[in-house]
This record gives sequence, C-alpha cells and structure tokens, in this order.
Amino acid sequence: MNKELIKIFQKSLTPPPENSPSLIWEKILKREKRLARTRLSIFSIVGTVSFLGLIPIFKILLKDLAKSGFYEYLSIAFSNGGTLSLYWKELSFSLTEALPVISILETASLVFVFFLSLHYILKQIIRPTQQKSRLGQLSLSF
Amino acid sequence: MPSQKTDEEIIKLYQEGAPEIFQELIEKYHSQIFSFVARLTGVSNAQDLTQDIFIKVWKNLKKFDSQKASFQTWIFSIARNASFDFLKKKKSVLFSDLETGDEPDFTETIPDENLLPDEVLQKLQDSSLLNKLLDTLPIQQKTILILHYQEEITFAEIGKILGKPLNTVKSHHHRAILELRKKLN
Repeated sequence: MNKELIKIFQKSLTPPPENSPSLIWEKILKREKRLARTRLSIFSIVGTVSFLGLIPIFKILLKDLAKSGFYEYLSIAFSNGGTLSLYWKELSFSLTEALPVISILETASLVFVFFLSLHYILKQIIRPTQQKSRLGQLSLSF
Repeated sequence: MPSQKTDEEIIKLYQEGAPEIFQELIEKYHSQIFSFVARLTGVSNAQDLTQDIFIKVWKNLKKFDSQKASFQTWIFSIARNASFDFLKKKKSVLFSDLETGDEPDFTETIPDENLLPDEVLQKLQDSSLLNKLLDTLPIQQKTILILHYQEEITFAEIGKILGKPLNTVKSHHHRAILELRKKLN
C-alpha cells in the first residue's frame, strides 16, 4: 500500500457532523415506532374484522350442525348407554359424517386469524415498552 | 465512550435481544461510512445516505452471518450498494459503468508504488484537485481507490465488497493509478 497516497486521501477526509450518531439512532427509533404503529393498526383491523366475522360464521355453523342431524346423533349417544356400547362404531361414523366440515373449517380459520392478530397486537404493545425502558437507562450515550 | 467489544461480540448481543447495543456499531463506523459516501456521492448527500445505510444495517443485522464475511466488509457492501443506487437514480453514473461485464484481468509486474512519482504525489496534496480527479475516474476505479487508500481495506476484502475477483480489483486499481498519473502529467 502506498503510504503517501494513504496520507493524501486521509488528509482530505470530510468529517461527519458531530451529532451524526445521535441523528442516526433517532432516525432508527422513529422508523421503528412508525413501523410498530403501522403493524398495530393492521393487526387491530384484521383482529376486529375476524372477530366480527366470527358471529355470522358461528351462527351458520350452528345452523349446519342442526341441519345435518348432528344433534340427534349426539343425543342418542347420551340417552342410552346400552345402545352406545352396542353400536358405538356406527354411531361415531354417523357423527363424523354429520359434521359440517366447511363451516367448521371456516370458523376454525377465523378463530386462528383472530388469535394470531391478538398475539401480534400484544407483541407490538409489549416490545416497545420493554425497549423504551432499556433505552431510557442508556439515555443516548452520544 | 467507544467500547472495547469486537464487532462479533456486539452483533451477538444484538442478535440475542439487546437492540440498544447497535449504538456502539454506529459510533464505531459512522465516521468511516460518512467519509466513504461523501467521497463517492458528494458531501451534501452523505448525511442522509449514511442514515439510510445504518437503517438497512439495523434491518438486516439479525440475518448477518459472520462466517460469510466480516462486519466491515458487510457494512461497506451495503454502503457501496446504497451509493451506487443513489448515483443511478441521480443518473450521474451510467448503469453500464456499474455493471462491468468484461473485466480486464491483466496482472502487471510493475509495483503500484512506482507508478506515481514524487511530483505527481506532490500535486495530489491539493485536496480539491484529488477530488476532481477522482470524479473523472469510472465509478468502480474510484470506489477501489477510496476503499484502499482512505479506508485502508485490502484488495481481497475490496473484492468481497464489490463482488469481484481479486485480479479484477487489482487491475482496476492499476488502471486508476495509471489514469491519475496520465491526468497529472
């Protein structure tokens, strides 16, 4: 390496502004805050929509269960112990067949989306609080 | 106060869930990155670009793998990409200058130290002249000179930063030095 050239290059260096590190850190924190807020709003909307969607979907599920005769098979299972011990195989087949699969899947997926959103919402609320308390201790050492 | 921790130690702490440790990386590298970006894109753009570079580093630090490259190589790769993107957007550099397909790959036997005689080095003491001359060089050559002489990074590391073979970096460097000498004579 040419030592003279190194000297020449380093002599003409432009130093950054003195507050440059704190400006960079502040920008990162601002961006993080904005991202957390955006995530929070998105997950809140998704959570609310899935929760509201659960009401009609659940009603449809109950209706489908009634229509398919599921309750009747279920009541047989609980009414007579002797019948159940004799025909438990047939009864369980009938019960399975009577399940409204599509309605159950719809309800389950909505419940899943709702809990997933709830999980992310809580994560967004808890994480910034933890970070804030840690950063408060540091109070920008620059 | 700058810490005595190595980059790897800082990154490990960050990856283990201590985001505030990132400030130490900023403290350690902001000056180098700022000077590098200022030389490549101009002082007026350097502050914003430096901030953007550190945001990119922050966003991707969790994925950083020290087995693949050192942190210095990695951060300079990000800085180089950000600067080239900026220049491309500004259209001050042609896309073809950045994507060099046919790389010259000659190995000179003349040592680079002998390429710049004393009177040429004397002329280069003038900072504004040096900056002007650097601006006339193709962007790849300019980048190599800045990384090698300003940041004191080896050709092998520069090769990793630019994603080019070592011989290509060496020949770009050689050409850049010849070009400087030609312009100053």
